[in-house]
Amino acid sequence: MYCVKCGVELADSERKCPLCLTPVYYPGLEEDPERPFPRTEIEVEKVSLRGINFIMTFLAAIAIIISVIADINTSMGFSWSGYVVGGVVLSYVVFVLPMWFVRRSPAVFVPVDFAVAAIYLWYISFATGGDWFWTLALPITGGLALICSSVTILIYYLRCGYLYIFGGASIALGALSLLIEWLIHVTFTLPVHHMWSPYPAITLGLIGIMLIVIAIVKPFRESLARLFAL
Amino acid sequence: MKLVDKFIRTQLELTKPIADGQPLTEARSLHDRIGRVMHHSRRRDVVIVDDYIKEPDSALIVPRDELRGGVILYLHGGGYVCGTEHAANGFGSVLSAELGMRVVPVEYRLAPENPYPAALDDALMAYRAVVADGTEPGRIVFVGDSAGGGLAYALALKLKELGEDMPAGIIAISPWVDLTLSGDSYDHNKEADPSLTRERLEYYADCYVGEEYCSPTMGAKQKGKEQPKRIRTRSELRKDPLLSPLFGDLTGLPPSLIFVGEDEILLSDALSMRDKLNECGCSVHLVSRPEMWHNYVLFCLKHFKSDYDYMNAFIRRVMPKGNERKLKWMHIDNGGKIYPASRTSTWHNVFRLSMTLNEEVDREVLQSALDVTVRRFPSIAVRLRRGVFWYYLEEIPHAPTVQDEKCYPLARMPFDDIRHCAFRVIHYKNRIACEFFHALTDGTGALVFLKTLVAEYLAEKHSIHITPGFGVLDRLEPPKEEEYIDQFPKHKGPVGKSRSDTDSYRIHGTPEDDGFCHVTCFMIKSKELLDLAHSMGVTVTTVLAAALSVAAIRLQNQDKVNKRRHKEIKILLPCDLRRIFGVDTLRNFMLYVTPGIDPRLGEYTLSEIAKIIQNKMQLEITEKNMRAMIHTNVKDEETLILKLAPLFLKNAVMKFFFLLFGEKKSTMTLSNLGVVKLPPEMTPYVKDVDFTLATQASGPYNAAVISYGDMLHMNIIRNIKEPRLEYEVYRVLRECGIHVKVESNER
Repeated sequence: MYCVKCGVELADSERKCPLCLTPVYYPGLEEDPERPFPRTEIEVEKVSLRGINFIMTFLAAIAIIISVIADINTSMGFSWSGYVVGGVVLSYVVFVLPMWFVRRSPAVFVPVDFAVAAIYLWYISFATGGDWFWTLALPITGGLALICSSVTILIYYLRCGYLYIFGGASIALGALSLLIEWLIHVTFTLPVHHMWSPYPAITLGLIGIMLIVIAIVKPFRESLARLFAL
Repeated sequence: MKLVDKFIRTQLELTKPIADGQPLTEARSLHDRIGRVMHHSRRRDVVIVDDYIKEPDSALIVPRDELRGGVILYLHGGGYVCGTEHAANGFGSVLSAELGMRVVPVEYRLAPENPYPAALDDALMAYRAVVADGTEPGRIVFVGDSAGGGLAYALALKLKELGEDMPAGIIAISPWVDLTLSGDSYDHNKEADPSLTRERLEYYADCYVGEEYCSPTMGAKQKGKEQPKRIRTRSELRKDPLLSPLFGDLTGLPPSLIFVGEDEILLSDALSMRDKLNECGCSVHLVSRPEMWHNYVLFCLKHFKSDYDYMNAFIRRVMPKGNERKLKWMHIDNGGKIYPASRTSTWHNVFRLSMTLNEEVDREVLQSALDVTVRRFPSIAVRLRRGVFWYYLEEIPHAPTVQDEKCYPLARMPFDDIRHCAFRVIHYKNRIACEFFHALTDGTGALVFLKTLVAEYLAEKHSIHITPGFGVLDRLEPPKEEEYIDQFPKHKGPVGKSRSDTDSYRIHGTPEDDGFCHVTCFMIKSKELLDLAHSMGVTVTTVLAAALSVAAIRLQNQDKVNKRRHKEIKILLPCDLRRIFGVDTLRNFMLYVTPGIDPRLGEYTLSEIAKIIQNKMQLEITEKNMRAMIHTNVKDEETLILKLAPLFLKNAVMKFFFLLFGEKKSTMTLSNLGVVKLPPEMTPYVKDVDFTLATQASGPYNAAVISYGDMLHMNIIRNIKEPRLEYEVYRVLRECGIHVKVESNER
């Protein structure tokens, strides 16, 4: 038999032309022809991440246990190891924890990461006797958490409107910089010499506005696409 | 006493009175049947080569797992009156399988038709034939049971008398060395012996001694008057050392190992023989088993497996050192060194050769043929091992199991598999396919392996004789050194040659996510291609390389890259160095040429490209140029710093260079193994021969060509979804008026 499109002669076992992928049209098509190869699939081994997860968990546990034991042995108490433990837990939550889950929604993991970071910061401020957590660290972490979470969630679920998302995020970051300066002043009661926060705020705000303008004005977007074409 | 023993004993006792009155023909056919059963139980472990010795017509039993060199000359039992071909091959097979040695079961002529000295003469002739075949007497062991045991000693005495070389040792199982039956065990074991009676032995002895010498028969009468001294009485003759070795001078006989059952009437034969040998200063070891009967070793009782350990230890002691088979190991040859280093988690350089028969392949026979064939190929039947500085190849002790075909050929060989066996044999319907890791051998060497395997398969399946030749090796001859040494260093030129080369066009497409490989076989009439090649004044390989080049040029045009940025189209053509240097190796011995076509220079026609390729090949494939290329390759390997670098460092460096320079220098490979010729006995059975390469490591294509009969098969393999190249190649061939039929492993 022959391929109706490219005209090559085909072996009886063919059901579509191996050259042009056209299905075979032939009146005397055999039901179950002798194929040159059976249909037995070859199983491709997939590397399981679970093993790596176990190893990482194990390593993290070892780091925590050893530093705690060493700390107790040397200083008869709980001094520096708290920071190590906090650091290890934070990096574990950020990098390894999501690996345990099949569906890794940023709506859950990004806020969780910031929450753990906030707890770690609280511990540091508590352990060092600093009085800066509630007035400085928590609002900054909260603000960043809000911005990062919204950006990742929007990107992950919308998969469009990136210019709006990044424009909005840029403006929000600018606003956050103003907030940060004000919080620093409140927390450490510094004398007001000069203000730095308007500079990033204005820059980020302008970038944000520009991105949104580009997103809104279609001809402008297209002309830019032409200009920066690779 | 174990239950099995009791059972056998009862059976023997039951048949004892019947056996005494049995006619000779029935006794012989019984022996025959027992022999067949014994051989049948070991048919998987041995191969019988008929007509190894013409006179007396004897076979050679080769163990599948040959553990040591040397030959066992096996003299069967049966009171000199019983025991034919099958009887001899039966226990011969057991011996061969248990001891891992070649066995020649001597089919000596039997009494009473052929009385003494027919049996002895035949045994002597067989011994001489084995020696003449190249086995040193120091590597021959006599094994005999019952009358055969006596015959073994008689043969040794005869050799002493003739002044010929003695064998390494004698293993006698319940030997009958005293035809006068003078031992006291004939009386006190009379009741205990479950199988033998004095009367029967008397009868056997009479038969063997014969009428001619001792009684006034016709023949003796006529000659009698002329040679009166030759006439001796029966009893005199029975005492002759060549009939009853017990009465001979045993000094100078080789070491002996004697087995005997303590309940048999021949017990005193064994004991006296031991004492006599000791007296004569010969080394002898006697193994006597209580409650056992005549020839109990032949029953292969499980709890007396240690008897074979005795035999193994005995043979190890009497044979020269270094006789034991050692698994060969060898460096990977210079051409193959890159392959283990360049492998990745998803890619290995493997290739396949297959033969399609005109009938369904019998898996069991194929496995058995494979067992035999691997012995002949110590450089191909190997596994890849990691050394500190280099990978090395080690012979495998057993042939691998024949595997099932999958939906595509050349599936990934995980390194763990290569470590156990670096090639595989695959069976599917009428097809026998072998897939080789390229570090072992190249296409030409692999083709010899496949031909030999199929020849052995056909020989076993159809009991035909296939004359070695046309690339079929004699399966039973020992491997030649030339076949498994690295030929590259020997053919190194005085200076090297730069390897620098330009990058080439790479075909791309959507990769198959699960690693599926599409194979499209282009079936073309050789005549049509040959005519086309001749019309252009080039070879078939060149025409096909040109067709692939034209197809690749068209693909590059489709890629819509700026014409001035187009890259060269380079088809990598392996060339066999065996022809150039006139050697017959089974290792890798090929190099590559990569004639390139620059599409920036303008449009080309097929014949234009063919001429360019042909000319470039002729320029490059010369002995001097090849020597220079070999020099460059061998020089790297011989650099001291590189030599001393640990394997993992070497691997990293070699892989880096391979990915950076090796593969980028060619668009794809086209390997042509030429026309396959087979011995005339094989051709009626073989329908097709196919050759397939794996894809490149980072390129999606490769092509391999082989011709058989009047057909040429070009197998194009790809691991991307779109059959881009195949379609273009077909168009090019069609434009030249070549008729193509395609077959594929479509999903």
